[in-house]
Amino acid sequence: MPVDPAIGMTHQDSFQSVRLATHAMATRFEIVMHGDDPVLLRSAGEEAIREINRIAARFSFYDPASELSRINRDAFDREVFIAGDLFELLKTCETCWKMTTGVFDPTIGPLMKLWGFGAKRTDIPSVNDIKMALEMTGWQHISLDPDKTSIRFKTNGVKIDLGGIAKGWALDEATILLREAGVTSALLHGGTSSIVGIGTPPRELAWTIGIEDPYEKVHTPKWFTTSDIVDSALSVSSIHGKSHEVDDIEYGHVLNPLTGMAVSGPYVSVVEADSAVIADALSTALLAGYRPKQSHLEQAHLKKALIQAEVHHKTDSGWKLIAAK
Amino acid sequence: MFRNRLSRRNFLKKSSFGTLSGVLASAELIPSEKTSSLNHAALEDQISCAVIGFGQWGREISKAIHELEDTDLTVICDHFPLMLRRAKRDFPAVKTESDYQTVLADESITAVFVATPTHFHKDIVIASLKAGKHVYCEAPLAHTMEDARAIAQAARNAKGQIFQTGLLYRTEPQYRSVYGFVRSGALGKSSMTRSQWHYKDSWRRPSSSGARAEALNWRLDEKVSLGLVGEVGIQQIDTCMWLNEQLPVAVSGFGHVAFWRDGRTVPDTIQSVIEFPSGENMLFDATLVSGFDAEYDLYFGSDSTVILRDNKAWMFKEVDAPQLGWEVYARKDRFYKETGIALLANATKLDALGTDPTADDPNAKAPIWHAIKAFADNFNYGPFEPVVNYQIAYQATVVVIKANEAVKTGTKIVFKPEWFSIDG
Repeated sequence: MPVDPAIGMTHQDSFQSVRLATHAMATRFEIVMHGDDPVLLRSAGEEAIREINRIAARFSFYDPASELSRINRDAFDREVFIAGDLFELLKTCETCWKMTTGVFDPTIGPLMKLWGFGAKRTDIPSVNDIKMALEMTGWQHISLDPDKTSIRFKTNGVKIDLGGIAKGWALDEATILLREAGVTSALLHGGTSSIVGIGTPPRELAWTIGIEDPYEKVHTPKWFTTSDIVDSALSVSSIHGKSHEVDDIEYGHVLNPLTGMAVSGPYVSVVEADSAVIADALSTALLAGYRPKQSHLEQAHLKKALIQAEVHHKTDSGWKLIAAK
Repeated sequence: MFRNRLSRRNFLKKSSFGTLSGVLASAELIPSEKTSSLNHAALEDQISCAVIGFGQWGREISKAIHELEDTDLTVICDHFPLMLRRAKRDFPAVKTESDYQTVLADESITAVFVATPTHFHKDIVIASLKAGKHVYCEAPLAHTMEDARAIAQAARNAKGQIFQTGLLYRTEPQYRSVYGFVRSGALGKSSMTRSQWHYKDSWRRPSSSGARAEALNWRLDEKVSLGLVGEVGIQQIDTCMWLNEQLPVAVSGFGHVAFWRDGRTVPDTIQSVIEFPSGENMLFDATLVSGFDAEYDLYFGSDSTVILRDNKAWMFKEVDAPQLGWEVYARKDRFYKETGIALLANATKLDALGTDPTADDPNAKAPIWHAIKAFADNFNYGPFEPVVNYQIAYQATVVVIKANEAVKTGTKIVFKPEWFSIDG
């Protein structure tokens, strides 16, 4: 079929490439697909983009009318019945919470609010304030009923924030739709920190992902390391960005839910897994102190976990492989 | 099967909602509900619902039925196995079925929601009514006048059965509030309506199977598709007919494939002018080429102009317009160089509940939720004539069928009065 170049498709030998993007979850999602039928690629990509937008609206912590907000508002007062896929995501949260012995925890809303990473501050919260916030933090306050696909909060004031893994979930759902439509070569990312590779790029053995030094100010990216992925997901977490610097220590927006303290190093972690939602959850947990056991590699279909080894952000001391298959 | 029983629970509810039918039939505000302490499992009299067609819109209908406490999502029907797998994942407890006749033969099913491609509506709706089901049918009713008439006649003849169509804004609280506002004369002398629907999308659905792709892409098949003006525009065009309280006298149209040159003949960009007897014409344009400025409706008048957007509304006053008593207290939002006065459907109610009326409503629901809620209320507290009955749906369908003809031929079509008659 002749392709109108105006449609935004590029031709590479026998392969055509189609690229789509959307703004969701306060970031940019992008999909690049290769194949021999650009019309199919485009329509498949659009369906995936629609699903990403749909998930962003449903799981928004800030939209008072979202499904997640309905849970946060009502689940202490009564049992809230939820759709099967949202229940599946919450079960995944529970699995990750157990696997990381509580280091990954989507109920850290009160702690995040206390630390207030949205604004600059020159001090850290008091021990007493942290203690109070911790009382409303922890997945142990959540009760899921698989028979009724319902949720209930055991403690008043608990809030679930899926911000740490919703990007990964959206990418996983988009990947399912692309595969169902017959797409065999694609790269998807959300804000460049959550990435999924379907198959391989044309005439290549893998999608090579460069992990950038977040402190490098020059225009040329400085790659800490690269990771080759084929039919798998990669998540990169960093404390840089939304953070407070107090007494020359950078407190990043990743919190340890067990201590209530913001993480000050290591400052980058990378996880490769079969699913982006698992990779997202565990890359956050790695920064907060989680270290996977060998059994977790099988349990979470985890392929690789890396952290930037040096605690202090101003020294680049290379990478430490935490676990690998 | 034909008529709902008034259960104890519904009796109690009915006692406290004595004027509900009046609320639904008028432009009164629908209160923002406090979520009930009742839950799904505790209810005895949920309406057992089947959704036929689990495409993108069938999924949204299913979600709304699942959320409402009055309705039980019992069966999802689609003849594509992939759709049923998706349905099972979204709603694990729901039965799935590939043959709609099996659904209709199931006596436990009370209501059927038809969300199939438009050209499949007739057979399914008529069979559903014959099987004694209450029916909610997506808009437009059909892709031909003959099919639309057949559906409307069947609905008229099905005494005691609810037949409601998915013209969503007539049951949406914000739009119902604006209806009252417009009809009270707040615009001054109405002059015209301008509506747009802009969305960058190929409108093509993917499938790895050729036959499946063809079936999925019925919107791009000019033999059965009513194009952008019919499949999308019917919502905004019906809203204009409702707010103007008039049937149009003529329609003109233009359309072409501006961008998605993949072999399609159904235009990706259209403009249509719908003429009303009072001269308050409507200009509607839709495109799949640009998403700029998305979707909104502007109702222009000598005193003020109202914009409806994202289920919200604002009024922009002319400098020489009389001041309204309440406007000094109203929320104002800036739109470039203009100031819009927010028209909030339930401001008084929210204020009485101690909720800030200017904050986003935490109980805000999608228009489809309100449409299905109206259907369920009719079942539980009715019978009363649905706000969006077969007559209204038929008339809106006739308008967009002719509008699509005008777009395809680039001509002006004058409506014959007999076209709007269900009996021809």
